[in-house]
Amino acid sequence: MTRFLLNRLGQAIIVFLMVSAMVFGALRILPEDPIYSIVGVDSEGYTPAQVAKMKADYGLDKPLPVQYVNWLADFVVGDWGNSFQNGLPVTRMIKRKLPFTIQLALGALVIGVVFGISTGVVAALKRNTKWDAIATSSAMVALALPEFWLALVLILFFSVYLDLLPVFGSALIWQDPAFAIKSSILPWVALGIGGAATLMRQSRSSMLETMGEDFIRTARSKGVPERVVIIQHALRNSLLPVVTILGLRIGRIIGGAIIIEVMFAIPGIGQMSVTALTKADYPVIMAITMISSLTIIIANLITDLAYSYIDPRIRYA
Amino acid sequence: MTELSTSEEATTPRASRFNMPDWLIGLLRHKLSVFGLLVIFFSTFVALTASVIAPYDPLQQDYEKLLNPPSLQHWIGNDYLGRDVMSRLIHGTQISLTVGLLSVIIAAVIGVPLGILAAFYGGWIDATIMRFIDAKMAIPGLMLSMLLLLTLGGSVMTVSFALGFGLSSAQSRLIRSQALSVKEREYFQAARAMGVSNFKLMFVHMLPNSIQPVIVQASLGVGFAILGEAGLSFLGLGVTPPTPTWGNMLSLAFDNLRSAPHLMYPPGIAIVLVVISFSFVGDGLRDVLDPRLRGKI
Amino acid sequence: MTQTTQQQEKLDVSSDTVLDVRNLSTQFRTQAGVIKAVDNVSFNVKEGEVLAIVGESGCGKSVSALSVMRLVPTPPGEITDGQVLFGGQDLLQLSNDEMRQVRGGQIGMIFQEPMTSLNPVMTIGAQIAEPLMIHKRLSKEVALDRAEELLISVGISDARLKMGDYPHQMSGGQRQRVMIAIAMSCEPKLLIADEATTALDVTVQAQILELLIKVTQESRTALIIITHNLGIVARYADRVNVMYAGKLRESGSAIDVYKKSAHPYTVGLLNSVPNLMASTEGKLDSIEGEIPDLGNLPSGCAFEPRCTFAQDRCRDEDPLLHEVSVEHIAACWEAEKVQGSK
Repeated sequence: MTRFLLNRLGQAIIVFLMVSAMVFGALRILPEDPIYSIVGVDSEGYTPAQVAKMKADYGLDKPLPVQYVNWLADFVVGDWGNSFQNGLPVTRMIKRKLPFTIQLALGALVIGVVFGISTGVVAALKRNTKWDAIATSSAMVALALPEFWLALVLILFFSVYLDLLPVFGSALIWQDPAFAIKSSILPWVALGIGGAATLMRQSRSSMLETMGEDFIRTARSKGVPERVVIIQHALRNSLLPVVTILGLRIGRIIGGAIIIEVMFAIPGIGQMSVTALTKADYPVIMAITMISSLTIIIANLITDLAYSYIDPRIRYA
Repeated sequence: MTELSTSEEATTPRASRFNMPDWLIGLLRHKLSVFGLLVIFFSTFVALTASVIAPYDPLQQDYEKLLNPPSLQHWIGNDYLGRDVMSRLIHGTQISLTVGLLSVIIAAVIGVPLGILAAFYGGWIDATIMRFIDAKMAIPGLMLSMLLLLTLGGSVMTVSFALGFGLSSAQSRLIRSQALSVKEREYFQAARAMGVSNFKLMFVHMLPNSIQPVIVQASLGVGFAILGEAGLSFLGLGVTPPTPTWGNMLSLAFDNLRSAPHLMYPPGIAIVLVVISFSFVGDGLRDVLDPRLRGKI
Repeated sequence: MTQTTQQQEKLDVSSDTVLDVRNLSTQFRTQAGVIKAVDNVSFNVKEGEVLAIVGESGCGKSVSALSVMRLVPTPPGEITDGQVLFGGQDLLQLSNDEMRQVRGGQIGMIFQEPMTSLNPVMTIGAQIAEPLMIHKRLSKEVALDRAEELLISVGISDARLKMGDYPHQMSGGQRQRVMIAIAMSCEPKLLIADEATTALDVTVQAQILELLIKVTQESRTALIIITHNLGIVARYADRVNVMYAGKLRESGSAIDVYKKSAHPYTVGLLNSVPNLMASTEGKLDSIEGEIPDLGNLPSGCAFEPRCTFAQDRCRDEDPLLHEVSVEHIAACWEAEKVQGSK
């Protein structure tokens, strides 16, 4: 087990390094000098000497690999540079905005998991009845829906027509619980439905497969009550593969959060990344991409380890 | 029993000389797939003939008809600049389908060789390629596209490349796992023992036998690409305006939500219909291509 | 299945009969039509008796056993007729809850695939303790202790250590021993072993069979061994039932069935068992032809196409079971001739 752990950890580190290279590389594919996103395309108002000095200040005059290593080294110790837009340390900006995104992502994840798995299991148990048909077709439609369109529909009904929930504005749950929840319901649902649909399909098929296994027949032949068969024997086995999906969900949620934050004016890092993108604010973009990727890598690492711990076939290989 | 059928065959005249290939027959049995195919054909038709069938120029502004609801002259109404929404929707079809198709092709071109190489060589080559794919998957799709578009600028080609780059990870993994099982098969090992060149082994033996799930995934991938493109242009990051895409139409609808809610339905419904159609077709293909089911069909 | 007066009458079975199956019929609805997997089958088992039910795959022997336990998957399958008398009740009339108490508590069953018949994420100890806690209402600790004793009794060494193991850590033979422990845990009156040794190595097969016999004899538990291999039950069976295409074809004591077979199918089966002592020259005998399509059975005897004793009558009339000698029945128009041919 420990060997497995170390192996996975090593893999995660390599992946992280590759991500950093990709992020750095993506922004440097073109030969244009990034300094121009600061000084403007014709460097108006700056003398060549000033431009050169700024280049040196930002370390943009060194060869590319050196720039990469410097940047990576800085990143790892927590120095994420200053924003091109306002000169503030990126870390401070992110620290302010991250809680909103975390709140949004967690809420969506919870909705996805709770709804998705429960509907999936029920659909499997009531296979081929109308409940199953409803659930499966809803999931299909939900997966084809763009999250922002769903958000639009929700906003239209709940905010514009019914005027029940606010659209803009948001609060952190420990600062203003009531408003936080009110303003987060629509974003949570919009972001979480996709996850619910995926998890529903996965847990349904997993459950169906498990219920057809021989050991279920053995359990019944022992006189085990059906409820116990479903919970103790079937669920415990069928939910194992679902755990691995959770890691992937987090990635999709982070991606979807960007649009949802923009739409609902939630001051999280997703929204920050879009603004940074339109203004070509490299340090901000790179930092946000890096922490998002790091989150996904860690999430996958945790789910892998959890899976190998829960499944005795791997734990005691 | 056998005697009966041959005599029937001999006496019944054949209706036509056209023999449908098995996979098409199987596909058509799936009612949902048929629906999906119809929608796709229809949208392709619309996309190809957009300039001809669109009633108005999608860029033409008309200040007297700002945000008009549907009317006889403008079946879906007008947007905030007075442009005819239906024409914009029709032209948007072009972009969505083009991006969808291109992305998937690019995804396959990038992903399939990587997957095959990884499966064939194994060892550290496999490990490196897999970590590379993991890294690609660790960056949230939208962010990856955003990064690439920042440097490359927004156009149909760059958007397709950005989306395709992200979609290629799934293709790589799929074909790699298929190719790995092909590696164990006797026909492959026999070819290897006979000294067939590596290139041939990979692309003549491994690839055709591993391609099936890739095709299914590609069909679903078009749907994902269309959603991705919509998301990007919704944020203003994709194809540059004023070219109409379904995504930026939705963005404008959002801006005018209170005054003209009707604007958000056409592009949204279009997206859902097309994406779900590709999903249906993908499911149909999966059932058809699954060798275990082939005998029963 | 009206029961009242009939039930009163027929409950007068001999006192040591444990299981009395009467006119059991089970069918499956498939896309290809209705398949009669079990057609009007009757048999019984006495206390401490070993009954072997033999026949090729698809003859209905497993489905009969599953019908007794009411474990037939019910959307496609359905028990359409018959009575299953056990412990003074007709099992087919019981409610689900009542039947559940019979399963595991009074009738134990073990299956063919030890590799997949145990829950992968539960420890061996927990799986053995489970029926004890349900049927005997033992507390967890007491149940686990008893489970350990059971493990020892089925021949697992290091029982204490193995209690905490998971199924994948054990071999097929060991898992089957665990299955026996589970099935016997609540001291059932009847144990059904459905192809219990088929998926095991030949050497292990004999061990498991011996274990089965030992364990059931010790507690006077009736044992039904279902198998397609006549050879392995020769030594242990008291009575043998031969099934073909969903119907019972011959039933009698082991000696009668083996030495005075009255049905051509039985003869064919016996001839096709490889004999270690016989010479290896010539081909292995097998029964020509294939098993019939159960959805499309002929009106006459279903075995007729493959039968070396067949007459014209066999094609038109399905033979009924009749007594060939004391407690030896067979369903064949030519039974006497078959017996005489050995």
